[in-house]
Amino acid sequence: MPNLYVPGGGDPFSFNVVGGTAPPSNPRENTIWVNTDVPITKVDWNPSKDSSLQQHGRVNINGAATEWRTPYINVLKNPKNVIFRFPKTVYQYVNGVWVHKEAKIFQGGAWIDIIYYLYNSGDKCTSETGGWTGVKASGGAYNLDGDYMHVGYSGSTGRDAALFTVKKVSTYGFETLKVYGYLGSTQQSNGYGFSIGLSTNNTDATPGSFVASVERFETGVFTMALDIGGYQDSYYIKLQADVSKADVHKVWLE
Amino acid sequence: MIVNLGGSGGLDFHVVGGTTQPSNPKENTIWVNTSTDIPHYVVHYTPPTSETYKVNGAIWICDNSLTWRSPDINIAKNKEKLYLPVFPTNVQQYENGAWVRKTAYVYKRGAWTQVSSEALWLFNNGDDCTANTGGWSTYNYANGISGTYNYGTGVCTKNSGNFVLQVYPEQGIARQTKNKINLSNYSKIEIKLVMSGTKTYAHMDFFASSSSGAVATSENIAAKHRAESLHTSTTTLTLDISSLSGSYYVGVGEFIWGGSAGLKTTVYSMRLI
Repeated sequence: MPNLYVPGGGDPFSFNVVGGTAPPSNPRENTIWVNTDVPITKVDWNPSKDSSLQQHGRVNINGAATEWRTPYINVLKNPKNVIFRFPKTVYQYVNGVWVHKEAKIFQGGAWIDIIYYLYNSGDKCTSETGGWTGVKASGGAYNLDGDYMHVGYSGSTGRDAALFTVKKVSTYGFETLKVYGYLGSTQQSNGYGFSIGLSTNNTDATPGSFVASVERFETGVFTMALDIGGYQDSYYIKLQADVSKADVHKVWLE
Repeated sequence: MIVNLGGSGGLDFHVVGGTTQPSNPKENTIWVNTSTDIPHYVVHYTPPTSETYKVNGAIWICDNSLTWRSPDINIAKNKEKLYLPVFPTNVQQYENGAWVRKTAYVYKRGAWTQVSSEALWLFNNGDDCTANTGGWSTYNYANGISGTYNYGTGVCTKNSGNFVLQVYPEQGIARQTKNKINLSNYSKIEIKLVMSGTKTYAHMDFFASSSSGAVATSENIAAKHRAESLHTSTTTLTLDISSLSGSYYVGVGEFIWGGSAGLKTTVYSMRLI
C-alpha cells in the first residue's frame, strides 16, 4: 500500500496540561499551566463552550486560529506530521459557571502568557487585527504610534474620535473584551465618556454605531470589560472617545 | 495534578491516500483520492508556507476550527481525558510546486462523509461547463429588484473564449448559472477577468445567489465580492464562501447608476476551489 500513511500509536502528543496554584518546576516543553485549585477532569480544545462540556473541573482551551500567531504548538510529538493549535484563552467550568483562568505555556525555556492580545503596548497585533486605524470628527484627534494609542479631542470644542481594528476580529469562544489604559478627561455631567465595544463598521467616529458597548466616565487608570458572550461572530473592535481623552495600552479578549 | 493526554491511548486519526476508497477503514480516517504518495500531512486553516512542509505529495488539511462544525474528528484515543478536534473543510496535496484540491472523505460512525472536492469549473475559456452549471442565463442586475436603481438591462455576449458584460448608465446585467450548485465542500469562488471603462457610479460583483431571475444586491445575494477598482489587466479574484452551506446560483453582475461612461467586464473563467 504505497499511498497509505498511518501515524504511529503510543503517546502522540507534544503538550500536557497542568493545574495548580503555582507553575510547575522543571516543566517540559509545551506544558500548559492553568492557575487553578480545582482538579482538571478533562481538557477540551473546543472553539465553543456548549452545554455538553459543562462538567465541574473541565478545562476548555480556545486554540483555533485563522491567522498565524504565537504561541503555537504542533500538538503531535512526531514532527513529521503537524497539527497546529494556537492557545488563545483558557476557561474552567467551576461550580456551574465558566471561569476564565490565568494560563501560561512553557516554550523555549520561558513561560509565555496565554492571552489573546489585540493591542499590547505598541504591538498592534497585526496578524489578528490587520492593524489599528483612527477616525475623527471635527476637533477629534488620535495617535496610533508609540507605546500606547491615544484617542480624544484635540482642543476645547472637539467631539468624536475612535480607534478601530483594520479587519474584523472573531469573537467565537470569547466571553469578554478588555481594555487597559488611562482616561484623562471626560464630561460625565453631559454624558460624554469613553466607550469600548464591537462594531460592524470601522468608519463611524460617533458613539452611535456600536453593536455592543460599555462606557466609562471615571478618570484615571482603568481596566474596562465588556461582556461579549452573546456576540459570537466577527466584528471590528471600536474604542470611542466622546468629548474625552484616553490612552490605550492593552486590548485583549478573554 | 497532571492530565494524561496520551499514554496507552494514542492517536485516533488516520490519513490514507489511494484511488479507491479503503475497505474496513478505522474510525476517524481521512481518505484522499490520489495516486501520489503522501510523505506527511499538515493541519491548519491556511496552507503551510514553510518549505519544510511543501514536499511533493504532502497533504494539507484545511482545519476550519473557528467554530464547531461537523464532521469533527477527535484525534485523541483517550477520549475520557481529551477532546482535540480537527474540522476538515478541504484537503489539498502539494503537486509540482502548488497546492491542488483533492476529493476527500472522513469515516465516522460507520459512514463516509465527503469533506473536499476537486476544483469545480463553472466557466472555462468559453466552455459553459454545462454538466456542472446547467448552462448560464442572463438577468437584470441592480441594487433592488423593484426599488432603487432598477434600470434597463445591459448586454451579455458569449464568445469562443470568454463572455462579456457591457452596461451604460442606468443599466444592469448579470450572468448566472441555470442550476444551483452545492457549495458546501468549497471555500472560494475564483474568477479570472479584465475590466475596461469606468468604475465611477458603477459596481461589478461576482456572487452566490439564493434565487434565479433578476438579481438584486440588496435582496437575494448570499455573498458577493465587489471589485474595488477597475482591473484593466487580467486579474484573478476570489470570494470566500466557507461560511455558506447548501446550494446556490453563482453569477457575475454589474450596473451603473450615474455618469456617462460605460463598464465592460470580460470573464475568462470561474471555478469553485
